[in-house]
Amino acid sequence: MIACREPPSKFYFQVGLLPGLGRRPAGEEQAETNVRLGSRTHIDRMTSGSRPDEQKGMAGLTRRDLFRLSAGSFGLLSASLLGACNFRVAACKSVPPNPFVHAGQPLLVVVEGEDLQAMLKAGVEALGGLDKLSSLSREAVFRGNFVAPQPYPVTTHPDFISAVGGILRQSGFRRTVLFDSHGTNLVASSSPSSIMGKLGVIGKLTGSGVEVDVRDFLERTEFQLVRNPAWPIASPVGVHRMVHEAGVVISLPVVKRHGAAQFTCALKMHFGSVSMADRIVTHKNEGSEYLDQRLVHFADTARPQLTIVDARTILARRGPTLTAGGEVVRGINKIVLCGDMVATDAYCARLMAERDPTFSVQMVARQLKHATELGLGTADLAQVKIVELRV
Amino acid sequence: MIRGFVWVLVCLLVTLPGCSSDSSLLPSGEDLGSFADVGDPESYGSATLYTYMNGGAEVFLEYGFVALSIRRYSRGSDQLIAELFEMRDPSAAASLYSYLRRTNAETEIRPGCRASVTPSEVLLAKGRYYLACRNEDPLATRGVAVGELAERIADRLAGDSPSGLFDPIRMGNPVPGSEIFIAGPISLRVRPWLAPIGERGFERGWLAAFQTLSARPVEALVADYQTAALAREAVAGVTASSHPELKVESRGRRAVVVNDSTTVAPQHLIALMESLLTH
Repeated sequence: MIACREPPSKFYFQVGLLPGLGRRPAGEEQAETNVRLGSRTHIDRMTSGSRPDEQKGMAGLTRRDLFRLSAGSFGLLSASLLGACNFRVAACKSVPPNPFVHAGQPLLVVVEGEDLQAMLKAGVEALGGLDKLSSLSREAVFRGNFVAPQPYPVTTHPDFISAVGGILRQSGFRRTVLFDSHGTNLVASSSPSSIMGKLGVIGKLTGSGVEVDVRDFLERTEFQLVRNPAWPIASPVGVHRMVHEAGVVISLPVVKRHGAAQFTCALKMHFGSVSMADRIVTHKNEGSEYLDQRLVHFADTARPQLTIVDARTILARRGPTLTAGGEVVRGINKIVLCGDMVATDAYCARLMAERDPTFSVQMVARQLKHATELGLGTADLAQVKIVELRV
Repeated sequence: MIRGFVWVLVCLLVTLPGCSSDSSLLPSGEDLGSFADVGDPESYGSATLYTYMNGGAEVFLEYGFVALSIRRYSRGSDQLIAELFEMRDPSAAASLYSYLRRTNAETEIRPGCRASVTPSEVLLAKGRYYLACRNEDPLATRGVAVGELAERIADRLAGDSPSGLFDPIRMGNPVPGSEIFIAGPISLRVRPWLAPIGERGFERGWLAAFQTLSARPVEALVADYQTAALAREAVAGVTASSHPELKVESRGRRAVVVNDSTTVAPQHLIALMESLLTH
């Protein structure tokens, strides 16, 4: 048993992982971009971060990066070992039952069209409006898919996020925040905003009314360990506090194939809601039921009240990136709105199967079954009220 | 999560120094001629590949990934990216290429150098390198710039593609360009009809469409397992009642699975399976 002699924060402090340590020279900060981070302002580097006199070496890292990485890694290693008992394992967040139902069945709205604004408006109306969400909180956290610096449909389109933000404001929400955690300040080429920066998401959302909040995936104190006793895998999962503590979470996935999980949409996209450590461990365990179960557990930690899928275009055959061999399929022109992640995936898997000869819904049957067993929703579309509209 | 943190950080520390980046293979746009540089070059090793391509990384690791170098260029309004994967050996590069090339998109861009070419993307393998050049806009319809970029980088890559990668299925008369080398359990999931095939003890496989005398081509998998018992086990769950479209047989460490949804005449099917089992 490991004795806990020091709080983890001390180790973070010692090795430069707390704000103020590992700080860049003052001159560099002038070239940085401010990104709103909830109630505080986070300085996140948008440049490569190396001084002109520094030579980039292996892995695209400067010597300073390597030093930071080494020091930071040692500190985190220590903190992980010594600070384990300082992190309380909580229950998964509790959310009210799916508010979007019809005669006891989950309501799934599919809108086909060309005008995104009109599609969203019609979809929300068919759901019965968003009052049931705005009564929970006037602030909503958006989760998008920002897996790689590649455009839609690899990642969530910023115009889609902006349009959803507009609909929420019309429905009485005072604040909407796009949250993601896909990088670390320890590595310049993979900073917390690197993907959104390369995609121009931050710039495009500036002025749209949707704030952007990107966090370092190695900021361990920002993750809440949670566990659901119903999970067959006992170890807890570190879900980001931004998601865990949000009153309303709205998930904005894309529809893609995935190398290990075969498919990614409403359930799988919550890999981005949990710690990088959990993501890596889970991918390292693929090839068994572990991956299929764990991705469901990650979704269980996030529990979005509403999922709005941008299926106007999808990524077929391979994925989850173009690098992995994904093929862009256009002309689907649909969005899907539902309060049930499992029904959403069952429907969107069917969309994929209709257009990808290398995919079948059976490939995700184990994921859907496990999610159903855990009470996340229903995969039986006969038990879902599907409303299909064209605008 | 704690175990994960330890694992991630140790891997980062141990393997980052092993990442290699040969900048001469992805030179500046000026050195390539008529291209402008965009951003800084990047490189990734086996421990950091996940941070670049998320869950797509596993397949590349399965095929023998060593290092990835990336450089972005522009020409006119085209924003281009070159991804150069250094693989374990030329066979690994060619195998990965076979897995990722597009259907009916192959052409010879240089003597002896075949590539998968679409308006937005060029894929090729040369020596121990797998190269992907793409227009950053996946819907791009003009492929001149990306094609020239791929050709100029390919000229700098040493080595040839290995021969004999698909010898084990040559006797079955595969449709040229349809062959896929299967490196492990992840790439074994490349087709839905392969789902019932056992992964335990799977070593390598060859998937292709095969010409038959009586019908359209049929897809078949030739798979090698660690032992004869594991090969038998892999296909034991596939029965005529559970999967009527599949025909399976194992012999020694090898198993053959044919997707007979096109209803090939039985004698031709038997001949195909025999040729694939006996090579």
